[in-house]
Amino acid sequence: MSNLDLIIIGAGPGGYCAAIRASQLGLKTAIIEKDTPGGVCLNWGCIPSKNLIHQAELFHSLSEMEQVGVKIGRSGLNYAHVQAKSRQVVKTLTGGVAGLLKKNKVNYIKGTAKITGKGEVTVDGTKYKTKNIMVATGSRPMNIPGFEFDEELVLSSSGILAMTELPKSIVILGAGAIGCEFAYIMNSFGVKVTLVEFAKHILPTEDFETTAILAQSFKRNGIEVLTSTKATSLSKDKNSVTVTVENADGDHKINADKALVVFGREPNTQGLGLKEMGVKLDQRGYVQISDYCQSHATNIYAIGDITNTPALAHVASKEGEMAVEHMAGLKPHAMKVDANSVPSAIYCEPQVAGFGLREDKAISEGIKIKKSVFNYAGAGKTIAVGKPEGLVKIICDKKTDEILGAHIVGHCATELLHELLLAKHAEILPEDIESMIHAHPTISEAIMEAARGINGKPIHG
Amino acid sequence: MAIKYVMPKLAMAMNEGTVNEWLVTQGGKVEKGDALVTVETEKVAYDCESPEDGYLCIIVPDGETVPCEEIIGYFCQSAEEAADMLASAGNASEATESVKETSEPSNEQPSSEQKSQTAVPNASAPIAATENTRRIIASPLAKKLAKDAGLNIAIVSGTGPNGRIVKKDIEAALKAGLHQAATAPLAQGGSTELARIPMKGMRKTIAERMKQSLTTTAQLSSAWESDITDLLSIRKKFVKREDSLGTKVSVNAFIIKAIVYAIKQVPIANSCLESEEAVIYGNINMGIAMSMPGATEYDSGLMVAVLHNIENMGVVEIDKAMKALFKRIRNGESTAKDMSGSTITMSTTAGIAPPGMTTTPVLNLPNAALVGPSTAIEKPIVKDGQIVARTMMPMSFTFDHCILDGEPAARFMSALHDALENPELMMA
Repeated sequence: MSNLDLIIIGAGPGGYCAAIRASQLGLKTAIIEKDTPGGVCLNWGCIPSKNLIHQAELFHSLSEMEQVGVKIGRSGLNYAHVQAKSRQVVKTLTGGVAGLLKKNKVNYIKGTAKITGKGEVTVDGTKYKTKNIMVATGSRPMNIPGFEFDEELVLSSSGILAMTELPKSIVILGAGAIGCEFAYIMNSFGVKVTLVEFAKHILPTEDFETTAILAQSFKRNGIEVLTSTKATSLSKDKNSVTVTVENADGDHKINADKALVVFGREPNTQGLGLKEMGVKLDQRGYVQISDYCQSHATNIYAIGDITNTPALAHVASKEGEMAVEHMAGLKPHAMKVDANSVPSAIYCEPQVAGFGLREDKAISEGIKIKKSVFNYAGAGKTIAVGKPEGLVKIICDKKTDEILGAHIVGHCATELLHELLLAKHAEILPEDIESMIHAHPTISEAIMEAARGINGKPIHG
Repeated sequence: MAIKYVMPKLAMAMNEGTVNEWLVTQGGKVEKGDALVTVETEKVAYDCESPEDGYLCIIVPDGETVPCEEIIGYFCQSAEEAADMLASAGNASEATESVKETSEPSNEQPSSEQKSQTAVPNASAPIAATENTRRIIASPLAKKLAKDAGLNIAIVSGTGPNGRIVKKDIEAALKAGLHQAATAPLAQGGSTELARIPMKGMRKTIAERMKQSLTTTAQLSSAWESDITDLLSIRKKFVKREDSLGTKVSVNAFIIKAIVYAIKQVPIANSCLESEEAVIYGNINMGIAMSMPGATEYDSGLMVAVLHNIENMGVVEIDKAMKALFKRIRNGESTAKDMSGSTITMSTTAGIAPPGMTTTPVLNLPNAALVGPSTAIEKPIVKDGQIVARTMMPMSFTFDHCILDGEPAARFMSALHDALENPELMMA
C-alpha cells in the first residue's frame, strides 16, 4: 500500500463517508479502525438506540390494541431479545459500511493508529506513508469525577446499550438527546425513570415550547422530570445507587437500581501524536480547525466530534466531504458547517427536531423576529392516527421573512423538519410554503399552516 | 460533429464581448462569409462573418456578455443536430427544461432561459420593454429583498448553485449602491423616464475605464493658453491649396503635429504604464477621443481611435490618415488596430465647449499623457508692447505623476506651446 493520498483515522460516520468520497474523487485512500466500521453512531449510538426506540414504541402501543379488545400479556417481554434485535440491526449496517468501503476500493486497516511523522501513520507497528491525514476519531462518554462509569450500576450510553436485563428503576443524569431517548425507552418498557437536568428545561439546546410538550408527555407517562436540579453526588450499594440532588426545594436523595450518566461527550484526541505534529488543541481537547477542517499542521485535517462543532453524525459526514473535496482541489460550496443549518433530532415519542435560531436566543440577542406556532391537533391527520400532541414553530426575520429557525415536536417531527430546512437552505419564504399545495390529510399540513401564520392566519388554527 | 464558435477576441485589450444580435435565427442555415452575429466590444460593434457552413445552435443569446474564447454557438451539420446540441447544452439537471423548449420551434431564442442560469455579468437586464422577458433565477428571499430595496434584480449577478441569485448577492449589490442607480427615477413618484441606459457594452466599458483610470494613477491636469493666430494663418494657406494637397487640412492635424514635435523634445510624454513598468515608445500612436452615438437619443458613446506611427508624418499626411480612420469607424469598417495601441491621447473639445473653457480630461489608460485642446477665442493680448487681438486656444495636459514628474511635464507643455505659437517649428 504505497503512495497513499489519504489516510483516515476512524471509520465512524465522518471517516467512512469521507473515505468513500475521497475514493470517488480519485484519491488513493486507506481508513484505519480499531473497532468495527460505523463508529459510535452505528455501533453504540444512533442506530441501536433507534431500534430500541422502535421496539419501545411497539411495546408502548400495545395499550392501543387493548382499547379494541386485543389482550396481550406483557409478562413475556425478554429484554435480552430486544437487545439482540438491535445488535442484529447494527450487524447488518456495519456489514453494509464494510461493503461500501470495499466497493469503493478504500483500503481498510484494522488496528490502532498513531501519527508518527509528516505524512506517516503507524498502525500497530506498521508504517504507512500518505500525502494527507484525516483525523476522525470521534468522542466518548464524558466521565465526571464522583460519577465514574462502572457499566454495572453506573452506566454510560454505551453501557446501557449493552444491558440485557431491565432494571426496575433508573435515574438518568442529563436530559440531553441521549438522556431523553433512554428515559423514553426505559419508561416504555415499564422501568421507573427519574430524569435529572441542571438546566431550566429538558433538551436545553432545543426550543422551550417544543421541549415543554415533550416534558408534559414524559410526566403523563410517569417519568419524574426534575429540571433546574443539580446532581451533587452518587453512592453505590450492592444492587442500587443513590444520587443526591439539589434544587430550589433543597437536597434530596433518589434511589434507583441503576444510574445512566449522560452529561456529555469528550473528544478522542489523546495518544494520536497530534500535538507532536503541531496540531493545536483547545483547553477541552478539541482540535482547532480553520476552513475546510484544516488543522494547524499542514495536510492534517480533523473532522467530526473531535472538533468543536455540533457532535452529530451528519455534521461529521459533511465535514469529511468538505475536507476531502478541498484536498482533491475542488472548491466545496461551503468552507465550514453553518451551525444554523444543522438539524437536530431527538427520537422519543413525541419526537423533537429543530434548526437555527431559537426564540429565547432571539430575545436575548435582540434579534427582531416574527414567529408562528401551529398545533399538531389542527392537522386532521394527527387526530386520525392518535398523535395530536405536538407543534410546528417557525421563526422568521421580522423585516425580510427569511426563515431563521424552525422547531417541531410531535409524531414524525424529525422527518417533517426537512421541508423547512430545505426552505431555509434555498432561501424559500413562508409565503412560498403557504402557497404550495400540501396533500391532505398529512402532518405536513401543519407546516403549511404554520407558514401561513407568519403573515396571516392559519385556516385551521 | 458540431464545430464550436467562440466569442472572438478582436483586440488584445478585449476581455469580454456582448452578443448584440444574432443575425441568423436559432437552428438557421448559414454559409461561410454570411453575416453571423453583431458583437459589441468595449469600444465598438462588429459584424462577424460566419467562418463555417452549417446550422447554427445559439448558446449565448442576444444581450449576454461573455469572456473572449467562451463558446457562444455551434455550427452543426443538420438542423436536428443543432436542436440536439441545444438540448444538451444545459447542465444535466436542466436538460428537461431545454428539451422542452426545443420542442417549440416558434421560439427564436430557446437557449435564453437556460443560459441565464450562468448569468455572466449582468448583461441581459430586461430593461427595455422590447427585450424578451428573461426568467430571473433567484431565490424567493433574494427576490423579496430586491423588491423591498427597490433593486432591479436583473442587474445582479448570481453566485448560488447554477448562478442563482441568492441573499448574499443582493446584499452585495445593495452595498455597491446598485439600487440607487436603478431606482432613482421610480422613487420620485410621478416622474417620467425618458430612457434607461443599461450599463453594458460600451457604457459599461467607459464607466470601468474611467474609474480604473482615476483609481490606479496619480493623474493631474495643467492648463494654459497658446496663441494660434499664426498657426491659423498658415492653415489658411493649406486650405487654399486643398485641391492640390488632396485634403482640407484641419486644425487638429496641426495640433497633432505640434504634439509630435513636443514628444520629440520630451519623449517620456509618449509612454504607457504596462505591468509595473513605464514603457517609453519610439513610435507615436496618437489616440484620438471620438464621440459616438449612444444607446438612445439622450446619451452618448466614446471611443479612442488610434492613428498609428505618425512620428514622421507631415500635417497633410496626418490629416488624410485621420480622416480615413474616422471614416472607417463611422462606416463600421474599422479594424482592431484602429482601436488599440495608442501611446498618447488627444481629447479635444474645440468647437463644442464654450470659448476659453479649459478641461481636466481623464487619462486614457495605459497612456501616461493626454493633451486636451479646447475652443479658441480672440483676446486682447500684449505683444511687443501693443495690445492686439490674437486667437488664443485653451490647452490642458493631463499626466500620470507615477511616470511623469512636474519638470518633464512642464517642459513638454512648453515645447507644445512653442510649436503651437511658432508653427514653423513643425517643419523641424
